[in-house]
Order: sequence, then structure tokens, then C-alpha cells
Amino acid sequence: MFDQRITETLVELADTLVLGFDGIDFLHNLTERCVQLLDVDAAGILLVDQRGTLNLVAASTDQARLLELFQLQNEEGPCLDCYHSGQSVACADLGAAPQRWPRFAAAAREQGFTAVHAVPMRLRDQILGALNLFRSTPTAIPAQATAIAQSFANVATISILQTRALHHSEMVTEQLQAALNSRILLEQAKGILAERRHISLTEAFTLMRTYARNHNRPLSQIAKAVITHAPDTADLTTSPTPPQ
Amino acid sequence: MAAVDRAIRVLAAINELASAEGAPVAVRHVCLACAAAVNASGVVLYVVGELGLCEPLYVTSPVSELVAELQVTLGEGPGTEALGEDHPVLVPALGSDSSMRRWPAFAPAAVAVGVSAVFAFPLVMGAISVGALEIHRSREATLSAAELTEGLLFADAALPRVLDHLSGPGTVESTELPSSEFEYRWAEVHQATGMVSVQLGSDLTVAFLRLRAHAYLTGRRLSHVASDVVERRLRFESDTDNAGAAGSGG
Repeated sequence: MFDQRITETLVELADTLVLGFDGIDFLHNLTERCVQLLDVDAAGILLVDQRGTLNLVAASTDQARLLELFQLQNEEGPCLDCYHSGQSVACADLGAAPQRWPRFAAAAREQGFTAVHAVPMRLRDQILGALNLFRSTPTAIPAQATAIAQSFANVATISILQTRALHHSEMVTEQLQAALNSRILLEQAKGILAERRHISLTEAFTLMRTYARNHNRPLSQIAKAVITHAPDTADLTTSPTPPQ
Repeated sequence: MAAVDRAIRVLAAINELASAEGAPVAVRHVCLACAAAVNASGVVLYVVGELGLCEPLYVTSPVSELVAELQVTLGEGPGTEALGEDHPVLVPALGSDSSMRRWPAFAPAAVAVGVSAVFAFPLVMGAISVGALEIHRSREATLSAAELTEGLLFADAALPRVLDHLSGPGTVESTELPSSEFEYRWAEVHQATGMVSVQLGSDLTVAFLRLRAHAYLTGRRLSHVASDVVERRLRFESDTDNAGAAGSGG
């Protein structure tokens, strides 16, 4: 499970920064790589905004129920604790009693998850959020995997802070708010595409993601095009089956 | 926890103003509470009108009214810009060279009437853009981190009130801002909004208003109604009556 692809991922993450930073795309890649390389079943990244709220900015699996599991963590959960402490937080058996986070554990079990691990996105005393890993087998996520997850999170943290350092604090706020809003925009576009093409929301997301990759355009731009019915993405939004 | 506490304090300040008047929470309470909280010389709330142009819906001071009118007349300025973008436009020094270049007509005119710093927060939810909340200061000054947070939270609180305004009088009125306002940021609500817009053949704003009206009229939570739409248990149809939805309500 640990091979050259891990090094490649680190290089890829660093490259994204140099080549131009599309926050959502960048963090999505990171969650997908975690699932591919670290023997976990799902991964998600929560970043704190200037309101002090944790926001889901990327997830490896785009099921609505799973997204809720991340959102719930504004109330309780390993990600919230990890963000507040700046330390890794783990639970190897979400079925054991008593639970530190009863609501979160119940929701996670409903999704078939039995183990969770959150690593902080942190540079010294600046904490941006946390990377969350989920697993369906009730054993702790191996230390080697969490160590690699932590180095992925570190590269991502430095990349984000580096981007921020290049700009005024006013501009940082402006960009952060734009990034958070593009997550909402993505959800709206998924709904539009799913309904138009009679497919699931997960399929709609995969379609947009593949389309963005094949056309070498940022995901947020494709989502915007879906919403505005831009003619250049007509082949994406047109239903392959005749309309009802 | 701290983040929720701050949001609740903002909502409490707005509610307090409204209940002192014995009136339902409205846009003016958001503006007045905001002006007091961030030490503003004035606050303006713009709404997107016909043709996508902005117009002031409420102002807290005569000087701010002048500044709002300048922006609308000249068609440029931080509020106008925030309205079309999905990010705040924060201008601690309106008299600076860069601001003068950015808004050559508006910036000098605003400084001349006594406003030297402008902070505009768009009222957006993804591709839905309904207006902007603008904070004015008579002197050049950056917003502190705490004031910035307050500004964002007041913009959050203003969004549903502007939606009330857009959906017309008497549709959804509340004497208190319910805590369910936090739901606006949930994934399923936004996914459902996209789906309903296709079902109605409408834009996202209309779709969201219909979703919200349905939740209100059936006494259910917005997130539950959205869940039904996403699970395809509930469909909306255009040209139906106020019930707003066809099919089983789950």
C-alpha cells in the first residue's frame, strides 16, 4: 500500500500550487489520494472560516449522507476536537460504549463506518482545519497511514498559507469566502445536472469532475457553466435520454 | 461552542431591536444592529432589482444614503462590485491611489461626502445572489478580525430577510430569527435547490424560495424537505397553487 505513488502525490500537491491554485480541486485530489493510498474508505477536509465555523471543502465520496456526517462536526466529532486541540484525534471503534461523540458515532455507524481518524491542518500555532479519515473495519487506522495523512495535510496547509501570504489580509478574506461559496455552487450544480440527466447526485459530481479534467478546466468553472447553461458545456448538460 | 455563540449573539442583537419595536424581524433591524456592533458611521443594505441592478433597500444614516445613491447612479463601488461577485470587497482606505483607480467616479465623491472606508459583504448562496450589506466608516480604518466576523455574520442574518422581501409580504414572517437559519449552509438544501430549479424551469433563487415556502407552509424543517427532494420523494411543479409541491410529502 505504501509505494512510489505517495511520493508522487506529494509532488503533485506541490505542483498544483506552483501551476495555479484552484482550492477546491486541490483539496479534492488530496481526499481521493487518501482513499487510494491509505487503505481508508472515505476522507474529507474541513476548513475553518472567519466566522469560526468548520466547513466541508472536499470529500472523496460525494454522497449526501456522508456530507452530513462532516457537517455535523460543527457540533461534535473528531474533526472539531482535532481542530480545537491541534492534535490528532482517533477512535478505533465507533461501536464501543460509552462514546465521546454519541451523535456523531451513531451517524457514522449508520454509514457503515467503524473507525475514524482526524489529523490537524496546522503550521505552528495556526490551525486551518482538519483532514478526516474513515474506515469500515473496526480496527485502528495504521500509524503509518496516519503519518502519511499528516504529511499530506502539512503540504496542503503550507500551500494554503503560502497562497495567503502573497496577499493582503483583505484579499485573504475575499478569497476564502469565494472558495467557501464555490462549494455551495458545486452542490447547486450537482442538483441541476442530476435532475436534468436523470442521474444520481454522485454520478452528477463524477460527470462534472471528469469533464473538468478532460477539458483541463477548474471544477468550479464547470459548475458555474452548468448553472448558467453556458453553451460551451452543452454536451455535459444535455440529457442523453429524450426529455419527458 | 464559540462559533455558534457568536452567531447567536448576532441574532440576539437583531431580535432584541425587533421585539423592542414589537415588529417582526426585518432588514432594518439587521442594519441597525450591525451599525452598532461594528462601530459604523452607517450601514446600507442593497437588493438586486430588475435587470440585475442594485438598489438600496435600507440605510441607517443620511450620509450613507448619499453614498448608496452615488454607487447606484455611477454604477460602480464596493457594494456594486460585491453584488456581482461571490466574495466581500473590503476597502479600508477609499482615498488611496488604488481605490481611486478602481472606482474613479465613486471613490472621490464618497470621500467628499465623508465616507473613507467601505466594507461590502455579498448576500450569496452559491450562484444565488440577492444583495449586499455595506458598512461605512467616516475615517480610514481596517476592520479588526472580530469586526470582520461580525460583518460576515450580519450578512448571513440579512440574507433570509432579503429573501423574505423578495418573496413578497406576508409569505414567511417570523417575530424571531429561528436557529434553523444555520441550515442554509447544508449540502442537501443546495442540491435540492438545483433539482427544483430544473423541475420548475426557474432560476435558483425562485427554486430556493419555493423550497423555503414549502417548508414553512407544511411546518417542516427545510433540511427535511430538501432531503425528500434529493431522495426523489418530492417534486415541485410550475403553475401549481401555493402548496408549492406535487407528489407525496414524505
